[in-house]
Amino acid sequence: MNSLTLGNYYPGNSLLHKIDPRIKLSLSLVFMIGIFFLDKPLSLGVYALGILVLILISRIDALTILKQVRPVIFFSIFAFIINIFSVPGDVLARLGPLQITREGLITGFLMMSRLILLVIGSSLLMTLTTTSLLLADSIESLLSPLKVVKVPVHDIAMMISIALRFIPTLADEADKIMKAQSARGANYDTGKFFDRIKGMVTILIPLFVSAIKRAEDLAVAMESRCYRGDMERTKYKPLKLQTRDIVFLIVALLFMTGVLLIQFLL
Amino acid sequence: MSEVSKNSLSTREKTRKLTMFSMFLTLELLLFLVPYLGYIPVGPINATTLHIPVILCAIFMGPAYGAGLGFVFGLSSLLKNTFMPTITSFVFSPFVEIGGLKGNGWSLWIAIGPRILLGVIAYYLFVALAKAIKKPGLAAGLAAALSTFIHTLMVMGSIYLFFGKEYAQARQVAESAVLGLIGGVIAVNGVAELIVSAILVFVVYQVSKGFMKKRKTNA
Repeated sequence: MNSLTLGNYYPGNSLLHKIDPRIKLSLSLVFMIGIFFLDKPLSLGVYALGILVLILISRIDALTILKQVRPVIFFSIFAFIINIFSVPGDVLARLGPLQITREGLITGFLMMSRLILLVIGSSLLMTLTTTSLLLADSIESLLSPLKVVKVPVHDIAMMISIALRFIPTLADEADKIMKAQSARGANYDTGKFFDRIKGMVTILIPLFVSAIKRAEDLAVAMESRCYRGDMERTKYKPLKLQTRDIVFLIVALLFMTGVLLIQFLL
Repeated sequence: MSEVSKNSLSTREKTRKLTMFSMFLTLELLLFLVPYLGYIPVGPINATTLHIPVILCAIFMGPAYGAGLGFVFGLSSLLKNTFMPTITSFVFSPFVEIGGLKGNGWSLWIAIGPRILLGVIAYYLFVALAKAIKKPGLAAGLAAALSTFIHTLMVMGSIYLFFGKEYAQARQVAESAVLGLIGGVIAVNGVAELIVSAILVFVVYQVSKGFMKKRKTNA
């Protein structure tokens, strides 16, 4: 349960770590949306080079990067295989009733690399090099124009920070509850459908009730520390844009424009 | 009551709502991230438990919060189907293309729309039922069962309306059989989800109401 990889910050002192989190957050959005337009090998290749440069700048070891891909690897291989067999085109090989086509191979490979690049890119820019606290701060800062139309931006950022903070806590709790119920003879892995549902209910009820209790405790704790929303609230480390942030932003945007030009013009 | 204490009272209420919603959000994300908590495998489509925090949140906090958490549920479904696609993922994500079957704008609606409505419907059903049968715990359980079923109907109905043909193709059945297939999903998954949510919401409501009331009188 401790391997729950969320906000798996990789401590470091590289340029990528130091860039303003707001820049990183918006850039990863741009990169995420951008990659969906890329379906040519050349443009995706250039994009991959860009990601490689980011990896080098961040000075994070290859193993850590590969670990980010692990959750999607099975599914991307699955999508790859489905695509090989199902896209019509020049037949390369036959396996009984199934046929492998050239087009299928290309579509499958492109789709797989798109998915993997997407995951590496977003984890490099966000979770690996930015602490979850800074991430929530930058969400608050980026959404702050919406305050004009009465969107509770501070509250949203606070909810995200609380959720990020408590996911591991509740995950440990779920683990404990499961072990406790197992010790009482509960069975989760085998049995008929209704046995599984019964097993599920024995974990979820204590989990939900304890989460609601925690919410009450947390409210009392915050209140006793004079939490009043964002009224006159100051920050220990306010976010400030520096020249290197702007330069990084411009270079990255130019790069993305270049990749899109390659995609649509060449 | 002086101006100051009135203020602090409303701040207190605001902070309580903030932490309560945050915990429902945490639960929702936890169920999403930990597969054996969020999904019960039944055949090719998984029955999910992700709708339960949405219903609880709606019943405890009102339709706006319910809709908010419903939106998170929808987003998580969109993310899951985009990054970990299965054969029928195109109905939930406009970004997925598997074997020539592509999602579109309606996928976005299927992933998010019914989930937001779930939060709203659950609250109003709860209020109406609580008025009718005078037993709030029972009303919560019934409202959970009904709104879960309506949610399943909305999702599967939209799939039939907008992706009937493609869905049949992905599951490799004849186009004429797709209504039966979708009916089967509603009967198996829908009923499983309904039972789990009814039990959970009933018990959690009964237990939590007790200590929530106690804390309020202590405060």
